[in-house]
Amino acid sequence: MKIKHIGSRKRRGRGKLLKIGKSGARSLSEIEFQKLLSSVPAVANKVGIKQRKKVRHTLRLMRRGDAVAQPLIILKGFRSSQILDAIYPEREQIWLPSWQRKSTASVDLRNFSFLDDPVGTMESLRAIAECEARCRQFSINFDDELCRDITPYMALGLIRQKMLPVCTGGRLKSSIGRVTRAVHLDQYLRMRQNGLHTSAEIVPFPLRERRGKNSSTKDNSAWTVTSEERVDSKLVETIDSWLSKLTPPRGLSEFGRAQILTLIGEILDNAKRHSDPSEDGTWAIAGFMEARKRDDGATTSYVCHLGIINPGDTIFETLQRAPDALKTRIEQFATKHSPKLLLKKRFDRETLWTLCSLQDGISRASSQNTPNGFGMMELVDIVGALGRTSRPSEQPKMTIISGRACLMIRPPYNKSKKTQRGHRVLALNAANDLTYAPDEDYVFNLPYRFPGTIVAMRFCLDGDELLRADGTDATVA
Amino acid sequence: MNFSERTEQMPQLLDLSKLSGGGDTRVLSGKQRGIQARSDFSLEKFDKEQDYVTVKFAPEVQAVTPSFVLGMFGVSVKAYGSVDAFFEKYRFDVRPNLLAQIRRGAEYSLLKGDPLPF
Repeated sequence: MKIKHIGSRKRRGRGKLLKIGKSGARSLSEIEFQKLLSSVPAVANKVGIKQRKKVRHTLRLMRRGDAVAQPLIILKGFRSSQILDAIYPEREQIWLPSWQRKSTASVDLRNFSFLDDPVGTMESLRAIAECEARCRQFSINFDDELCRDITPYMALGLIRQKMLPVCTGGRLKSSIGRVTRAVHLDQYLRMRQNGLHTSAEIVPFPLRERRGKNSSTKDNSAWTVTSEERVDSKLVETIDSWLSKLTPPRGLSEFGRAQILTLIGEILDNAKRHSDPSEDGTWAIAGFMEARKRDDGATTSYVCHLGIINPGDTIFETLQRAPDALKTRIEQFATKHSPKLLLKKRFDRETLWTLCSLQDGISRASSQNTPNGFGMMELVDIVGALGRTSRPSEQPKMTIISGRACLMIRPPYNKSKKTQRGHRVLALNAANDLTYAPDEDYVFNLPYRFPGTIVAMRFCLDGDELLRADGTDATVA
Repeated sequence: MNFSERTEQMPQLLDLSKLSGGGDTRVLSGKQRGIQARSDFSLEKFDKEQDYVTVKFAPEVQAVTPSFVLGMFGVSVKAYGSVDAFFEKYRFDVRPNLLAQIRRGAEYSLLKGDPLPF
């Protein structure tokens, strides 16, 4: 068995994390090895002293070459993680030091998609967080036949950055493996896949992250192209170059290209501006398009998946920085539709505030000079326009998760309505009217909280409005 | 303003090509970037002058988000009071698709309040 030496990393005020295998132990000089032995931590009690002896003995065995089945993990201290701690608030209390861990487990991920099963997907992430806190080792089995949403894989990637390295593998369907490899999520998820090749039927938009929050140096200059604009332009080029390889060659129409550019431009700008009080937040984006044969076997649909994760403040938290007059109005809306006394509803005040943020003119930014808060409805309208199709199974879908709030935007509730004053409204109820409560099947609380915002989208690019035959410019809206 | 008056004016050129970084981007996005561009191009001066202004973008620009339009031209639209008056002053030498996007952003500039019913 090949055991990989990951090495040690010092963390501020938290001791060190070490995962070492045979080759790692043997590659050390004698001085380094003695230093490693002396660094093995011990709690000042009988169990701790016994554990220290055991770890030191195992390290010596490794260096000598005697059989050791598993890599050795030594962790001193609890390692905090914004996402893991939010999904599993009891994590710090339940968390076991590695030498006290006995159990093993496996987590099966089925219907792992915020677009199709947000509650189940959040529960799966919770199960992973629980295993990380108490298991000696556990495996993750990706059992879906198709990747239907990229965002849970991105969220899992973010989680894995801070996880104790006790996740030791698991099953992976080749269709999922191809996608994660294509969008470079395999490294992010710390997966090793052998014998898989990237499929020609998948066009990736590899994972891109904005550098850490509050680190902008040039974005305040009008002369500098922003990272959001570069990423956005790259996405359109990616889709266009892939479509040009089809037989017969296709391409995005001027209208389709402008829609995608606007969609991503608005969403990344929102993510940067509103997720952090400094207006310099961070984001991660990834996506892929897959050519899938329809059930008739003769025609193909081009299914686009896009995911944006924006760790930081939730929409509800962001709106707490809005002008007082607006906050009062939103609170009145939330109070009107909140569950009363014995009446139970699937949504609460936080979710109703999140629903408000969709509407035109609602923003935490002051609208003294010019109004704000049109980005979310722009997003909803564009996804609707991009995915215009008569096939029920290919209707565009979008899910917005922020904190515990979950908004499912899809037919029949995916078309905005203009008020007399010109504002667009999406109330997510049958009347599309904010005086009525939203539909609980489309607006609800999740069982666990995500610290930030996730936007997941899926739409099919097969409308005549979006695609043109190569060399012509068929349709312009 | 009728056509004969218009032709007597000296047109000014507002060339926004520099914003796309020599072809680095196909989109201009973000309200903050729009606000910064407004300041860097001294749009306040253009607003005050009588002449109309021809606005050009780099040919590779294929989309201008409403947020950018709000940031860059929102104050001007409000100053002129209507979208038509704004387009009378600022004449965009762009493809119809881009013009529709700019119009949308200009329309948002005039919206007041929010649609909350309470």
